Amino acid sequence: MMTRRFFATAFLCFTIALSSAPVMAKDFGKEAESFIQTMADKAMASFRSSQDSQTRNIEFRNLLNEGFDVRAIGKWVLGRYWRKASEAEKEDYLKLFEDFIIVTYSKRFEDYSGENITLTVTESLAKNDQDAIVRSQIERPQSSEPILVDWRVKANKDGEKKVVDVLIAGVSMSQTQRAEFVSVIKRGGGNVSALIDALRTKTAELVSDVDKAAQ
Amino acid sequence: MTKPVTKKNWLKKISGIAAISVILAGCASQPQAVDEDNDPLEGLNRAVFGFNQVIDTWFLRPAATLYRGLMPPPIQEGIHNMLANLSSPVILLNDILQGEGERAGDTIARFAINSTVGVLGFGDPASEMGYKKHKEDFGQTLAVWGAGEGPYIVLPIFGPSNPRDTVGLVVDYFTDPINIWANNTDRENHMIGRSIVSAVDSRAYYYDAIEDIRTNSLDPYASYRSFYRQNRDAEIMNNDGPKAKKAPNLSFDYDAPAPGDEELTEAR
Repeated sequence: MMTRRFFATAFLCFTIALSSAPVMAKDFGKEAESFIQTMADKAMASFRSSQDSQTRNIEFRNLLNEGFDVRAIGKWVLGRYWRKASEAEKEDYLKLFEDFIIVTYSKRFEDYSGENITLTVTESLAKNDQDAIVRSQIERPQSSEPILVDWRVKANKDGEKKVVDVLIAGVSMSQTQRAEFVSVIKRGGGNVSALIDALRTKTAELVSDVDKAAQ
Repeated sequence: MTKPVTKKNWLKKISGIAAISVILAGCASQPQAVDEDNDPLEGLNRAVFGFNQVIDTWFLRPAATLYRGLMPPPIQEGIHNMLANLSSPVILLNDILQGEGERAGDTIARFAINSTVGVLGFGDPASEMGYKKHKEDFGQTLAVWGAGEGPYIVLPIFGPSNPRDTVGLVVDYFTDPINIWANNTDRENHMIGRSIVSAVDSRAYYYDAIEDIRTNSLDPYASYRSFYRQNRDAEIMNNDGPKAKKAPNLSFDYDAPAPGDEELTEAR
């Protein structure tokens, strides 16, 4: 009797353990889905309303800082050179990286403005309770082919959900950025300062282009 | 050149390609991290890339700009659809070679519907009927068969590639029934015309993405290299197709590195 009860209990525990693990993971997937949908809805609302570019820029900055872990992406994008960089270089680089991301992506954001684009979350898959990929389809009025966009969402130390990577038709933006940055460092003799200089020049150039366009 | 000779050459080429593909298929692929450049010929590749950029600036980009300026977007999309429809036989062949029965069925249905209801492929009613568009080529088939990509190479005019995809490009050209027909009936200008329209269409179709790299990238060569390799990997895994639904673990690549991994968990 005793053993039978023991086995029954053990079996029950085992079943619960088995079933609860995926449920937890699935929950993070669902949470990540609604996180992406909420962020997308905000962005779509901003695209549709035709405000001036300055307002849109501010909205974009807010969305970016709210939804993306820009610092984590910045560190990762430096690859193995992150460890080689001096403290001052790290500081300089992270600041420049944020400026660079804002100027390049706000330009892209601007290109979508006024368009009636829709984002539909199609599925999600959670690796664990703090890491998930949300798959979505973006449809633009001028193209009948939807674009497949995957969002890698992770919970940061404070438990906030943040996007750490965007994959467009299977191409990771973080990965591409990393290839580009690492190549600049390699060609600069392995010095992170080469990238910092290039970033500074590029960002200044892009900002002045934006200013010119705004005039 | 007399015709029998041409035909003989053609056969010779095919057997040559077959030999190369056997060799390629022989070297079993090692799954490589996309992160590594895989670019031992970088110096030469950068030179060819520079040449391609010049060609683009002088010819392709102005042609695409003009095309986008003159053609209303629905016409552009129609031409894009027509070209896609023309590549259906090659896609079908590769669906079959990869043992993708369902996708082969889709391709047949698409070709039948779009060539008729879609008016010679101008429209894409098949997509709305649930036969989604997908791409296949012989480079992908070789990958499915287990061939490794080999080192990254930049081809003159054709751009980013690798030995596997270069073989694929050649095989696709010679297995295309439309090309075979044109070759056998001395209609070479058909093929030249199609190639030119295809080049302008692709350049126009990806215009914004290319401009984006041109303006924003610190090293366009490295950006294209990363883009090409990731995109091919996604295509080989049929990331853009219905397969993604059935085998999510194939399309969701957790092993792919992402920010938040590695050293990033420390010190924020």
